[in-house]
Amino acid sequence: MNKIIEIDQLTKRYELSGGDYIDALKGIDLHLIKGETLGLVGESGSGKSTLAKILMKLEALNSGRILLKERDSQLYKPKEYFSHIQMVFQDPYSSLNPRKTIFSIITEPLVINKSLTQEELRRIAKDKIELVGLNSQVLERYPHTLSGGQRQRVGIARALTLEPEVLILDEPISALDVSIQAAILNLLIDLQKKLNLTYLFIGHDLNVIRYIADRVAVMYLGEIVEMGSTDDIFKNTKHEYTKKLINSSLDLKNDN
Amino acid sequence: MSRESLLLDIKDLNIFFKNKGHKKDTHAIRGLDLSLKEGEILGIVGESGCGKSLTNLCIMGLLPDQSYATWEQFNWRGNQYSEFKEKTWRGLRGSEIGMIFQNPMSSLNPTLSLEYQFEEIFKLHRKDLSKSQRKAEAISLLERVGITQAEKRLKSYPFELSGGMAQRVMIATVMATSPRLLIADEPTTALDVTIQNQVLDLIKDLSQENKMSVIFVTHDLAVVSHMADRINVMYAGEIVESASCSTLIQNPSHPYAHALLNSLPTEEAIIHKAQLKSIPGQVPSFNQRPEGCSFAPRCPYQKEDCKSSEFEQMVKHKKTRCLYPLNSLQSKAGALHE
Repeated sequence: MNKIIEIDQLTKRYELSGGDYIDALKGIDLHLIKGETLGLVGESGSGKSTLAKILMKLEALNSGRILLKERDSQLYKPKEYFSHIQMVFQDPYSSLNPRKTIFSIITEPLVINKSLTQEELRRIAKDKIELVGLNSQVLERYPHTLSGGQRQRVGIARALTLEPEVLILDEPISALDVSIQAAILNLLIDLQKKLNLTYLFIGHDLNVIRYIADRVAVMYLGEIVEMGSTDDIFKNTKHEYTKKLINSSLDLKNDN
Repeated sequence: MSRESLLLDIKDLNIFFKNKGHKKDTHAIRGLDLSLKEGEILGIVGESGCGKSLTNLCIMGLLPDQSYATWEQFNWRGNQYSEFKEKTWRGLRGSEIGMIFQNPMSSLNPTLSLEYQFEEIFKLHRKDLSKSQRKAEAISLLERVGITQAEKRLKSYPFELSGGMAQRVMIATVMATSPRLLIADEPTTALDVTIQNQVLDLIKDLSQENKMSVIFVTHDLAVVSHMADRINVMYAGEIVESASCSTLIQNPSHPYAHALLNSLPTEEAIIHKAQLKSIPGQVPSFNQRPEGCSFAPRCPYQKEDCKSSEFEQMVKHKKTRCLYPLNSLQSKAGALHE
């Protein structure tokens, strides 16, 4: 079993004023196997996004460690680290700079991390934008001229420019219409097969998680309360909280 | 169905946006018929940009400045309104028609305590109440929506509430005037699933208890299938199908309604990991609508006459705005049951 990411006893505490604190993550153990999709579910405030932020080094961890390809994440130089792991955000409206063209949005990671000629940038941008199913003419346009679904494709293309092996997908389809959700899910599954990507898929729609995830981890108040294969989690549910979550999820009512 | 039992009956509603210069006004909402019985929950679904919110703003009399509406008939509780007058709507808005929005945090005033926010409503709509009665009323409203320690909570500010609690408070403020119609625009989209159900149940209970009608706008088909008695499907500024909830979910007759339902990850797709069926293309903007049926360019069943200029006339006032509705036999059977 090839563990591409291993998280070991990870904790995160936020200090509040007056000596109070919140333990956002209370000793998380988690691993990602190369090529799989791990679904991460739980209510807001359960620590899903904190975990994602720490993985992307947008927040510092308090204790514990993260191994990327069996090497401590702290030992990586940022450029090296982010060539392995990238993130797609929930809101395609606020995660793209409105004053930049799609070309400069997509190539920004390259400009920061590598020194390439303008020509090379053009070629890679064209490659990536076509990879996510958009026409290369989109490169000259600004985010406001694109629909929500198109923007999310741009967000995915940006995450792919450094050719990472791991993508953290933080509610990547929650802000989109159902018809578009299906298209983006299809794209993500396609890309995973083509590029052998590993996904950490954070979501709250349990049908979507059942559809896309190989394994599922359930978070509650900063802890992982249950983890297992998707089938196991949904069929042999053990933890009370997971049961509650599954029971409150609404399916299409088809019986009256 | 007698006229008297209808709370709201709108015929041929059109909403336009004014354009600068001599350009023709943009025709946003086209020929919309909408009726609502007392106590009925009507779901409105459709992709973003289909005009769901615009329709509701029009009913609330809150259309944006550059737009105007025309209609053949606007009947509210037996009264005919021939045109929009701010003064008339000021009497309806808040007292007879209430509205809750997607984000409860931005609908409550962050600088005022809950008590004060209730006070504002009572001052406008319940002048008969004394100060102590107003407080008692606010407490009972909060208790009704399931907020514990209501008296203490009155002193709270919105930031001290969780999202679910804030949405309950929003509902309580709307219920303060016992409206006949509640317009709920994506009321649970920002909430967690566990909280979502509580808020949905609350809206359902209030509707039943007070015979209050609800217009429930959402893009979540699963949610609407649990809430609505009837569903209107909107596409590009038109209602393309209007049917009872069960008919629409089981036997949609408009290809767009069918495609929307099909794009969900079904049990079968989950088990077989089959590709999901997305709808190609996107909703045309109001000023770039194709001639004929707006959905034709994305429709797998489109035929030549779908694009004809007579299309509008051919489907006008039909329950399904389509020349070739799907499952037409089954749908007819469903319609007879209504």
